[in-house]
Amino acid sequence: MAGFVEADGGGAVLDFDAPRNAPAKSPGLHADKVLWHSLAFQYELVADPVDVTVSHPAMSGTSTRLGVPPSSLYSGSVYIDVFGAVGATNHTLVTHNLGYVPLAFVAYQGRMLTAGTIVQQGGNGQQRWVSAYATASIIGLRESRITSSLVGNDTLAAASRTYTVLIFKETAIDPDLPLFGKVGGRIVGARGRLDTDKRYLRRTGAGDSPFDIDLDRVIDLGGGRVRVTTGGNVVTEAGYTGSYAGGAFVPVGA
Amino acid sequence: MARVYSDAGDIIVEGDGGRIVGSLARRPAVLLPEASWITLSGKQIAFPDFRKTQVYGYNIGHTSVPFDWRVDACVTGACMPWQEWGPNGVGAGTFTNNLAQEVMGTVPVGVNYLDIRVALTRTKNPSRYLGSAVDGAAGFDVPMLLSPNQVLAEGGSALVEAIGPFRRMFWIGLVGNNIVLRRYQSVCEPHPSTYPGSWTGTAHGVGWSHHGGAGSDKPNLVWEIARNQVSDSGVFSNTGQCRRGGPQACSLVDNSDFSSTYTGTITIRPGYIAP
Repeated sequence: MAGFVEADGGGAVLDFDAPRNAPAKSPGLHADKVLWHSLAFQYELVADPVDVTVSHPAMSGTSTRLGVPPSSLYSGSVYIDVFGAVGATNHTLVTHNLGYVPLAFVAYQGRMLTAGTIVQQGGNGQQRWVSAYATASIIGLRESRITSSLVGNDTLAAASRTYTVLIFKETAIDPDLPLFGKVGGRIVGARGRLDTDKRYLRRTGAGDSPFDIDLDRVIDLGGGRVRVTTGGNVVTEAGYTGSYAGGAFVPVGA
Repeated sequence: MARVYSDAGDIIVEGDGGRIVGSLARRPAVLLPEASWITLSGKQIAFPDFRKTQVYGYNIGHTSVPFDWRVDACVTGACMPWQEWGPNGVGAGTFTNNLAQEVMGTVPVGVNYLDIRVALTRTKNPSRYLGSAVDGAAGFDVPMLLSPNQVLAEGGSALVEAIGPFRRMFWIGLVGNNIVLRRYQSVCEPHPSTYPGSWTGTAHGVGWSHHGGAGSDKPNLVWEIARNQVSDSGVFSNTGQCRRGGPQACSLVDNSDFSSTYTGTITIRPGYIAP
């Protein structure tokens, strides 16, 4: 079962093999014409998006000394101090217990997280990055953080950030449901794979709350530093020397 | 009551209560059927070691109270000068060092989106920055991806290392109908507070001097190779013990290796999201 924009080539509407019906017969070859297909993955939400607030811990700076340190007895020292501390913490955002590793997105300020999204910066090189991960039981957030890595012993302050979790399911077929028809107050297709009671990730329209999803690269490096451009929002680590402006993105919702 | 209806040229599927499930203007995101997914098991993404130079630090100390005491000290380190690594000749950007692009597969015409999940373990660790093994100290190396869990590489991008002066990332994306892997790694110019202020070329005297690279290379110290300190009560009897070429000189043989390799499964689900 499929909803699609007809392909070129015509043919009889009711002829499954007609060129016009090719997106239904071969969706893999006509991705841009498929609106919905019972063999496709349609990003059906397990539940409504969930907002989760995470308390990110503070981290003190430190320094590491290379070489022979000074002594109180004599001045024959040769050393250099390098500043910066590094840390990581894993947070559980949602416990889903689906029993399989689901596809999921985690959004922050209306745009999907990538692996290495900057969610906090200090004035002297402090940085906090996050990445979302999934297991068969939870959706988690991995944070990595640094204090000023090169220039001082500054602290990275604690921070509170709110993330939105979207989890998608492997839709099951229910043989008791119709191939297409009304079931109570809802419309059902492909024995439950399409169901108007369910929510699917889709392009947003007027009145929708969007989460921007990216179609292109969202991280760039330059001068040993990072720029992140998720959802067209540019966040740049101090010292970045590149000029990447980011790529295409689409506002989606459910 | 759910319904399907036409409005102002749009065909709308509406759920009970009036919520729009989808329409021509609000097209659902579609991932192609599973037969079109690409699963790369045992896939390796490798980052080579950086271009490095070495630094030699040497100093003499002397005190005469309560008696003459003489100290020679040296330290050597591996350094990373500024450098940019990436795929020269493809896409934007020019790099000081080439990291060749890899074609991982192809997708049919019409695909404009890749849902990319990676489950990677770092199977080759870089040397610890500054050699430290202390949790929370500058040298503690924290992998950014929590292996071996499934991580979303949104936009095909993943920052995998952010350690001291260097950063590493990869991008898996569409170039035409090809799925490509591009790796990038970059080292900053050092902040002035992190390198010795006065260079003395390759001189053997007191101070800091470089070994390898150009004199104009400013070093980010990333690894201590060796240190030594020699002292006795003889009046200057040990002069030059720890300087370059001296009998107690520090080694300049760089034994660090900052290459890293990630190994695991990459799952690529091609699809289409109406732009």
